[in-house]
Formats: sequence, C-alpha cells, structure tokens
Amino acid sequence: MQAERKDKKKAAMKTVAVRMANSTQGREPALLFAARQAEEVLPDAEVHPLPFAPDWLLGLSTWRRQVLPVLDAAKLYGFDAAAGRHLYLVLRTAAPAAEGGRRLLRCLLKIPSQISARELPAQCAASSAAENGLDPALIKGVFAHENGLLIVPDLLPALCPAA
Amino acid sequence: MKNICIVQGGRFLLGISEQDILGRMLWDEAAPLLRQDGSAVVQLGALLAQQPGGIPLPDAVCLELRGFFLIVDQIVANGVELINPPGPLPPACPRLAARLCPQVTIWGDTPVLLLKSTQILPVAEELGKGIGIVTIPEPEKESAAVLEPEAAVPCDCPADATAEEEPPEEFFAEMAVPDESAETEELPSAAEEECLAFVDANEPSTAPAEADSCASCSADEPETPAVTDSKSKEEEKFASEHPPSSEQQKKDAAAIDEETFQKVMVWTVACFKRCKPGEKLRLGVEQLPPELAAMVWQKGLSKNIIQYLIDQIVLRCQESAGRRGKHAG
Repeated sequence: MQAERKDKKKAAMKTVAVRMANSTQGREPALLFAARQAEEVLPDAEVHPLPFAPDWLLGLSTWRRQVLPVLDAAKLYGFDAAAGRHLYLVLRTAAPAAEGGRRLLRCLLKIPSQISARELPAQCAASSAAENGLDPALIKGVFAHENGLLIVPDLLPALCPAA
Repeated sequence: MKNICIVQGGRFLLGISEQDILGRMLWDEAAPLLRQDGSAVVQLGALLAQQPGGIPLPDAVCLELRGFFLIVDQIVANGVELINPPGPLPPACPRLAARLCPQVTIWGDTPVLLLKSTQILPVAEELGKGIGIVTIPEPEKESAAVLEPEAAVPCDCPADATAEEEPPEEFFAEMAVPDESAETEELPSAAEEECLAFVDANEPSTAPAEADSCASCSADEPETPAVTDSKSKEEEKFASEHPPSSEQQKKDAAAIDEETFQKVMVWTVACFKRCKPGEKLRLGVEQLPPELAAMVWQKGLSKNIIQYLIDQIVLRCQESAGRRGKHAG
C-alpha cells in the first residue's frame, strides 16, 4: 500500500522539460509541464494565420479534428527565438466553465527541439518570476536548482484571457 | 450556414455563407461600376492585415454582400458543404477576430474561419484610418504599347502571366465570327475555323449535343466555309500530335462558357506575346494561373478540353504571327 502511494507520488512528479534558448542570470531556463498535461509531441504542424493576433499567437491548426490555437513559447514567455528545428507540443489545461465546473482547453506550443521527460530535482529552491525577468501573470512558479532554472508556466491567461 | 464559399484574403482563408453573396465579378469589371455606385468597398486582405485598402489586382474578385462590396484575392472553392459542424473560435483568439469570425470549421484538414459578413463594416469602422477601405482609382488611359503585338518578351514563366494584357486587336477580329459586311482577303484556315467553332459553341442557340455540327452554326455566314469540308496540314499535324479524338474534344468544347473561353484566350495570348519570336511555345493546363485553374476546376471542365482550347489559340497566334512576318517581308 505504501509502495503504491510512493509510485503515485513519483508519477505525479513526472514532468516534461523544454530547454529555452537564452540564459537568465547565468542559468539555463527550461519550461516545465506536468507529464499528464502534455498529450503529444508533433514534429511539424500546419499553422494557418489568424487575423489581429499578437505575435506569440501564430495561428490555428487542426489536431484530431479539433481546431487549436498555436502559441510560440519563446515569444510568449520572452525568450530568444531558438535556431534550428522546432517541435509542437500539444498541451491541455483546465479552465473554469461558464456554467460552472471545468472544461479542458488545448493548444499547440511551438518549442525548441530540446525536450526531455524528467523528474523534479530534489534540491531546488523557489524563486520569483519578476526576479528572473519573467512576466508573473504568465508564470505559476520558478524553481532554481544547481543546473538551471525551472519555469512552470500558467497557460490559462494565454488560452483564455477572459478567465 | 449550409454552403460556404471559401475565399482567400491576403494570408487568410475564410468562409462566407453562399446566402450572403448576392453577386460576384472580377475586380477589373467591377471597378468602373463601383466608381459610379458609391457603395463601400472593403478589401478583405487589407482589413485582416490592418492596412489601408490598396488597389486590388485585376484578377481579384469583387463579392456583392448586403450593403457593400468585398474584394477577395481569390475564390478557393465554391459551394462547400459543411461536413464538420462549425464550432466557436478558441478563446485564445483576439477579440476582433472573434467578432469578425465567431465560428470556425474544418475543411479537409484546414481550419476555416467563418466570416460574419454583417461585422465587416463595423470592424473596419472600429479600426478606422481607412483600414481595409478601398478607394477606387480613376481609369487610366490605355497605352497603345499594351496592344502592340510585336512587344514580345522571353516566356519563362507562363503561370505568372496575368489577364492584364489584352490580346492584339487583330486577334480578336480573327477570333470573332465575321459579320456580313466584313470583307476577308483570304479564306480562314481550318485552324481558324476551329477557333470560330469555340465562339459559336458559346452562342445560346448552340446546344452542347449539337457541337458536332458546331462549325455549321457559322455556315449561315457567307464567308465562312464549313470546317468539316477539308482539313489543313496544320490541323492534321495537330491531330496526329494529340491522339484523343479531336472531334470528341470539339464536342466537349461546347461546354466551355464564354467567360472561361475569354480568360483562357487572354492568358494564352499574353503568354504567346511573352515568347521570343520563332520560339516554339508549349503551354499546358498545369501552367494556368491558380485563379484561372480554380475556375476551370470549379466549372468541372476537363483538362483535355482546356488543353485543346489552349493549343488551338496558340496555333492561331502562330499563324497570325507568320502572316504578319510574310506581309512585313
């Protein structure tokens, strides 16, 4: 029973880390998503532009017969554009529904190709978004560890500004 | 919204309910009418890119909507039935986009924003600064040089040829059915007759099934001998180079409407004029400009028919150029 709980806890800590191009105060930043949040990694996506969109909103794409917004991670979170290949990460997040309860929102996040599944490092300290030059409205939390900076983004303000 | 028309405006692909479209016309034809009409004219591509309306390309399409006109770069598909029920635009989309296109559907594998036509003018007004609004320019005087058939330039990219250039007047004269008062110095060749047959085929009195006797439609005209009487060497050569039955193609050609005929002819002649003198022009259906190709496809005309038409026009152009050379000599 105890072992089962331990396994569950370990599974909950599984994450997907996306290394971003530039460094923040000498530390390599990575965007961190819960593994259950990431549904698929696509090598490519056909993106159709959307009128009146900000630069971080690249357009719309179809995924499994759904129309999803395509977001540029570097532009949204204020990192330099990475050279080379890009991937598209299908992410989901829960948002409050108008009629109460919650609904799932999905998006495609354009990311650099340096992506890995990892566990949270045991030794890390909470840091603040503003301290690291990040927009606090878009960040849930920042954790500093010896190898770099782990940034947990909040997708909701980008995916559902009204919420 | 049952059927939609999918249009392209700048970088954007949008769907408009067929019910909202009252009429459509090429910009070239619509501009003089709109100049007098005084209705608002919105250029979709410019509006969506938040830029003031420019001068639309001659092959842009002008759609008449309720109370105003909308210029789109091209019509991508007509009468598209919505298989996937439209859904709301994702909440991440900008407010103006959601106002202009509250719904989105999937066409093939492409998301298509469904335009709410009643919101076009209010959005343009909200943006202000003349964004998306077209000011119709005054007509330009036609330059004689444009009509000069000798102005030939190298033909390296026929698909780029637009309908801007008019075919030489002589060409029109030769392609038209001769009227009784017109005196012709020489009898038209069989190739010419086939071009005439195309023109005749567009006459309402000529049913497609009667296309076999299409040439005889012009037999009422005194100077026009029946095409079936004799075949010129050129025609025989053409027939040997094109194994599919040319008689059948001639029959099918009756299905070509006047608009298609005119556009294919203008494009072919423009391509011919771009060729160096003496260079053999090879034009294929696949080289048609996208808008023209789309139109042909939409009308369900087969490639063979259009290829036949192109070949005939090229042949006529070559003969015409040859005669000019002889006269000059």
